[in-house]
Amino acid sequence: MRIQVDYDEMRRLAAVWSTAAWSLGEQVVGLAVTAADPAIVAAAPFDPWGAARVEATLTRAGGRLARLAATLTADAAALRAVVAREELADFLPDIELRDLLPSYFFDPRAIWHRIDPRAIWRRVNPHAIGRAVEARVGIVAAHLEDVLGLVAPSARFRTDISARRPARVDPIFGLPLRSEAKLLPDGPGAVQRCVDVPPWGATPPATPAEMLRRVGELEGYSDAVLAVQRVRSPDGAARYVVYLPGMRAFGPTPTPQDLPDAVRSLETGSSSYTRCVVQALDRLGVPQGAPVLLVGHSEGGIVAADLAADRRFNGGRVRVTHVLAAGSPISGTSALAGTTVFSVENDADVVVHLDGLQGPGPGSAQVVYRYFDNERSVVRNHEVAGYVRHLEGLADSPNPRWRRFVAETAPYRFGESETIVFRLRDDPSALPSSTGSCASR
Amino acid sequence: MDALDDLADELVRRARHIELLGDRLLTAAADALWTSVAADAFRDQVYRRRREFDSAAHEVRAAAAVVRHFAADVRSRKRVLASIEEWVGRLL
Repeated sequence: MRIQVDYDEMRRLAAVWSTAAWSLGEQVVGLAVTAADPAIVAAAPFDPWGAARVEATLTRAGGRLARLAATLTADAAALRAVVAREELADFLPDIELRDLLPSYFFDPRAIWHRIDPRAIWRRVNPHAIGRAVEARVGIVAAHLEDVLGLVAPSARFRTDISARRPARVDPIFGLPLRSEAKLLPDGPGAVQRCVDVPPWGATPPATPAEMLRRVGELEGYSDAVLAVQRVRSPDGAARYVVYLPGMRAFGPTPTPQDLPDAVRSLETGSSSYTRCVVQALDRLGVPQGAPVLLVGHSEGGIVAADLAADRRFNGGRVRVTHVLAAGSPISGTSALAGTTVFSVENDADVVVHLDGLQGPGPGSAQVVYRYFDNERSVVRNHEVAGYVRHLEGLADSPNPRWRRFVAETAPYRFGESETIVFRLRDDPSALPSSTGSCASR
Repeated sequence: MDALDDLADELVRRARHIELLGDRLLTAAADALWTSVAADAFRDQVYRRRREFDSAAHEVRAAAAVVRHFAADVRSRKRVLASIEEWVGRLL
């Protein structure tokens, strides 16, 4: 049986428990004040035994509440202690100090003769230091919003962070992020059908985790791609699952799966990637108003959330019924009514914190499953495989919103299916002249 | 004795608040997507805590009933005293 402990959730529950304990404490004080009320004291001479009974009952009830408050406080402390212990285990050196410092540093006989700061510096193992630092990035990532809220040079940025609203300016210069993002390279977007058919092309995804796993498989293609799967249910109705892989490069590339496009998508809600999705659906002849489920990882999740929030696409071109996003900073993006967004976020993944928000605002219909899993590597913390693993672990969760998501997406998971993979470019001129494989290396 | 009845009403309000707190714990646990043997054990414990909240609220309601009873007793004794006072007054 799989054991999955969700530390972020435990932290949230501990906060709820503490609030309840505090509130119970207030009730205890309230009962004590009631017991000393002048009305009881004034009435006591008329019925001394009755007054004594009142005092005894109130004292008993107060005592019971106080015990319950203490138990809840202990529960909350136990939950916090488990989280702290795990965080400490993550933070303590996984790499021996001996890896970082020269061996004679630990030899007390030699230490008096051999300590020489320059020699130590020369012999320090930079790879071990790099690994040790990277292992701790996940810990810092979980508190990134708080750290930026304290140290970012821009006062407007710090204000946005402390007000728990999406950051509108960059943390250093305080310039509007939207205007900065518009300066990044963009294009009309272009798609070209690939000859490749994924091995799962004719099989609808059995579970939400399987949908995400397929996105990960597409990320392994040699070219920037997206896939559209048409699922025809036994009653003949067609539904579409759109698989949106994440970013492939940090620098600008001719494809939409790079950092400039990811930033454009995040800050402006539109990019050559979003336009590629529309073109792919047009190319496939997806009917107007057809039900669509968007699945995306990283930049793919940002694009999915953008499209779900765009009236021209969602409701105009097709009907986005569901979005499944993993490792995407989409807390600040609100999908239109009628679309359910399920976002999976690893707190140790730096990427999910890039919107400067610790979760969707109050009243948001977005369902967020946030967990903390520090794999001691910036890349591994963000990898789709980790998200798939955690989503698989949710299979038995009794959470009503998760169960509803699984039940509602069932029509996308049964029936005959066909999958088309599209190559993506920022501009039509960058497409190869002939259709070829997008998967070969 | 309106003041005593007000106290009883306040105790009923407190009991309702305590039940709501218990409900809140239950909702928070149900909303947790967390799944595993540990999660199941945790949810069982939350059900136990919910029952403890219910019995604490029950105890506060019982206290409210005792206060109401006390208020009624005090009222009737005051009525008796008033009638005695009136009777003595008439005699004098």
